[in-house]
Amino acid sequence: MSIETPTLPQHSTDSTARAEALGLIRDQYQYDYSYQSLCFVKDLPKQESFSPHYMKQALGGMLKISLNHAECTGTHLLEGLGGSLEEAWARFTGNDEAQHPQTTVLSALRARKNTARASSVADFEDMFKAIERPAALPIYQQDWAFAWQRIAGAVPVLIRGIDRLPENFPVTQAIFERALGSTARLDAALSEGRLFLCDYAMFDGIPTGSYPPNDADGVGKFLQAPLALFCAMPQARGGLAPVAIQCEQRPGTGNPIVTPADGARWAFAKQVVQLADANLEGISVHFGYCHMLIERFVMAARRQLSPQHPLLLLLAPHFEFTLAANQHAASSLVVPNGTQDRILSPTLPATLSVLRDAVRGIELAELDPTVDFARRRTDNRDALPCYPFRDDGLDSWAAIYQWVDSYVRLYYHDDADAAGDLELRAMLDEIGSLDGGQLPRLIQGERTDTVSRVVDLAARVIYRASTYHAAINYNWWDWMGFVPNMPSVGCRGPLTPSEAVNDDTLLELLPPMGVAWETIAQIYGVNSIWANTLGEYREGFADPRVAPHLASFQQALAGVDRTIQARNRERPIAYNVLRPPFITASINS
Amino acid sequence: MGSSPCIPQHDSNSVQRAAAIAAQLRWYPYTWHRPEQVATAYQMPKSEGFPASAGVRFVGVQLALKGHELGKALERHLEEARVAFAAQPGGGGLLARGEHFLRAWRQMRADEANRRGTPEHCAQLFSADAQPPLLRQYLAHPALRDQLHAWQRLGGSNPLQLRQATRIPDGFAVTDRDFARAVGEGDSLEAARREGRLFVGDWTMLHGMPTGSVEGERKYLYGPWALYLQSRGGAFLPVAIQCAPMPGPRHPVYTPADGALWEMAKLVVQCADTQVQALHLHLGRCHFVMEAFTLATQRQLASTHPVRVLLAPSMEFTLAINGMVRDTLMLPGGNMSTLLAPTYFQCMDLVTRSVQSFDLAASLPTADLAARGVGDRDSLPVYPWRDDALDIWTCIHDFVSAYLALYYASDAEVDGDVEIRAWAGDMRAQFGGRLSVPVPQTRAALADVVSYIMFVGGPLHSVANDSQFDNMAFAPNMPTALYAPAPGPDTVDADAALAAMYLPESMAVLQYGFFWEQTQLKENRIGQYRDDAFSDPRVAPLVSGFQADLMRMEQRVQARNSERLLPFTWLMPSTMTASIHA
Repeated sequence: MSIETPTLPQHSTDSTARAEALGLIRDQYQYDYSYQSLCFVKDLPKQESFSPHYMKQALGGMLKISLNHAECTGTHLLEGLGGSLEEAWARFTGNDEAQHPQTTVLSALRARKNTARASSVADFEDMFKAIERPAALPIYQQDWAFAWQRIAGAVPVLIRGIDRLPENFPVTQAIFERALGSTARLDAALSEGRLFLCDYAMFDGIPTGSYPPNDADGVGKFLQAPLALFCAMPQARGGLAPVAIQCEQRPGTGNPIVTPADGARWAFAKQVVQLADANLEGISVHFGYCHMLIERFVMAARRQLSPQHPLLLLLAPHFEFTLAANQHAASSLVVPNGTQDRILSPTLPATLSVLRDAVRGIELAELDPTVDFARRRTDNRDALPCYPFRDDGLDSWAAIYQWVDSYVRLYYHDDADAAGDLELRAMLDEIGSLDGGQLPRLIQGERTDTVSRVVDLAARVIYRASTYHAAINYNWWDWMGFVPNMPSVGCRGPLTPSEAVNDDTLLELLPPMGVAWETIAQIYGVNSIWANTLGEYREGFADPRVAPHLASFQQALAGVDRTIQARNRERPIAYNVLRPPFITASINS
Repeated sequence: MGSSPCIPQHDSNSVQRAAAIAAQLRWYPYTWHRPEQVATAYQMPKSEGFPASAGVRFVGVQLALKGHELGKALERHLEEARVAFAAQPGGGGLLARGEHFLRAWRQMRADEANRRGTPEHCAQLFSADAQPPLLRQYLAHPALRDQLHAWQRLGGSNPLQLRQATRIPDGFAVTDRDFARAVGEGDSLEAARREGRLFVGDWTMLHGMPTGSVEGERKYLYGPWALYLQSRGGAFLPVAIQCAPMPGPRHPVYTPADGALWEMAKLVVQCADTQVQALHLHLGRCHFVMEAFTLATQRQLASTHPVRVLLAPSMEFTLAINGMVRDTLMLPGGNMSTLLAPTYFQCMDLVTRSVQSFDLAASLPTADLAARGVGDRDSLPVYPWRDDALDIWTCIHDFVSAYLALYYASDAEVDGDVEIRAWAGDMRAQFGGRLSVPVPQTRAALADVVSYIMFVGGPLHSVANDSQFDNMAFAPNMPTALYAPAPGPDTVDADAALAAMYLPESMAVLQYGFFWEQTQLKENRIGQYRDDAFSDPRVAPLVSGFQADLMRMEQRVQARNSERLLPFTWLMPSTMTASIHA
């Protein structure tokens, strides 16, 4: 293969040949919306498929899950796999239709139809005999850990600052005092920008299914659409204290606002929030904001940027295995009786509706973390001094931005170079087109006519594919691996005002053991895979001018890692997911 | 069969009723993905399907179409053979003559692949004894074609697009001079506007929409404005057309004085109207709005709820036909995007926007006519849709009101009907029908909603669907797409440019067959109920009254038709289906 010099299309010496080559590539990358109007590639091009190294990691995860299951329950999950490890290995890697190891484990679990309910929380605690225990396990009942998960948990992207309370969430001074003590002042907290809200309105009125799905004898699922209020205060552990929860969107006597002073009712309300958060993670935040979004960029970049285009050379390592991972999701995650249908609460069509709306709502600017934090009013470090996802993420962003800026300026010398790059323009237009990526809102008003806009675009895509996704993906195990902390299936409807609430009520909300086993298998399997690392470009860059900038990037990342480790010493528990050595370069699991 | 219909607050067996509704919710889950954001059935119970007998009739329709097409093809080949034979030079041996004949015929077949579906060719697709009135007039009286064009705004397949022009839209550069060129002296733009005699057709929402291609030929589509005049002499005439919503030399205003350029401009309008007719009026406002009504009804009303009993015939087979439409017509490569001009996803997006912009209160015939400024018989004396639709609306509304009065003794009983509240709530909900529908709290409000649902299943769909053969099977009248650009400053040979706009002949044949087929299946009729439809004996006299009303209404339509430019036959109850199923 001849390595050609990266060139912008307008500087190409043979633009006809360039366009023709691109046309052939385009044929390989065809959009397919035939399943539930979700965006996938029609046939996965060979060069996008998983590598043996990837499969090895996936297989390792699967073996550990199986051994753990055997250790805990006395039964192993790999019956029927074949007599030997060689045979199993061949099965996963030997042919074109290699089965994803996760599928094997999940099918074995699904076949068991385990609807048994836990007799105590200990049943969930005893699920980790041969694998590491999730970090949430010893702390999950504590209020500080509940608040901590809003800023450093599985979904650190929802919380937003407010300067007034929503009309449907009438927290009063009396309620505020009950939560935080008689000296606490609601109006002061509001005016100082120290109040934060998590609103799960997207689940209002959502229909829920059963476990197993479409089973008349299945266990009914529930999901509420809560609102939760938090207050930043230095004396709180982690700097953020929970204030109040309202479990449904419409206020009223049947839907009271509860506070930490409410005992078991408060514990139940926290579970309602954690349940909604788990569903938001499983529907919008992880698969939507990361996987389905980057799918569009991969498709449009491959279809519209020539292999000689310097931006494609920069972005391609950040697209590694994304199409393949999504193709795997197309057959295991989003389908009837797939992971979402089984271990999330809504019915599958409702889940997919929320997913599509989430992706369609994204604006390109929000991929810039500085914009995202500003829009969610979480950018003020005086009001909210500790926000690990923000603090570590912005360091990572600065390093990425600097690297992208120096790289892009090697090829775009002035704004005319940017404005004249019609391939880049075509890529963005395709993402917005109904005949392409179908995300008109994403690209609305987005221009590519200055060098800094080109830098913005590339840095945003890289940040989302690496740092942002890592914060979601690799925090999954610690918070959701232990089901009582963050159940994705709820089996108990709203409390009535008069009923007595105790530990048994809390247990009723938790899902059957089968859901817990499937959850563990899903998350542990995904978290076993680390296909690449931010800052490492295995293929390198043919252009020798890139090397010094890349070296600077790697140095910057090493510096970020030292900073984060220092910060971690001040934090109630370490936040390791955004340490650069643990950030994958692409979305691949 | 079963217990007598009653509203839930009067049901002695409320536990069983609630359990039955809980089961219904499981049987009729929603999904919202194709068309995007539009509520459709995620899965359909078998009971909603067509009976086997309808399947047989459906196959019969297909066979008849194939037979017709084969017959026409044979006719065509024979004619060509005759021409080829007649063109033989005299003399020569039998073999040489044979070779010459074959060569001539093959050449003709090869030419055909590139042939346009011109009016002459397309007229040949029709059996001589089955030419619709519009086509007969079109062929017999070329001088009448402008009036036939205008007529279709009032009595065609999409008679809901026209608005009174209280002012000329910004960007529509029609001038007094254009007006004078179009209609001569003695009237003026300003006088016509002041007197309410000026009307505008607006298809500008189509401007800039990406178009597809078929058989390697690119399709064209424009978002035009057209101006119409109710002349002092009583005729309804086209005045001017601008093919895009921005003024300037690129987009001149054409008038009837512009010859072939004017013919091209009319074709641009007719093509735009075809897209709006098919995707907005027919699929959006009939099929998919009705799907959401149907799902909410089957989910939230008990089978003994009087409203569900009344509406059942208006919803018969709708989920089934929509399932077929989604699985055949509305797929990439299906007839929808093969025939119509926009790309597949653009077509789907128009359907989505049609359903999303639906507002039941604004769609009630009286409200819609008033909003469009076309309710006044003085400024617009002849408007078949208005006159016949209002007539049948009154029949339906009277029947529905009388029926509801049997079950609701007061407005409070409507307000207290939890199933009606859940029904309306389901139609409106994000995880429900996603429709803009009021929550009825009085008998009058409930009568409006129920009557409108019956109106969609009957009259509205009837005009959208049953008119298709008469107006749309003949592609040069309502082309599903244009195959050459609109007229403009670059147009050199307008006659040739006009001819290039017509469909390729293969598409014209497809268009003919498609719209013929759509009008063939009629499994029920408005006002006709099966013997077991109402178990309540009090309903029978109301049904008789309704039927008599419809019969008298039909006589009025016939009387009006005798004075119209063309008969408006799609709101005749005797041929109108009760539900959307074709």
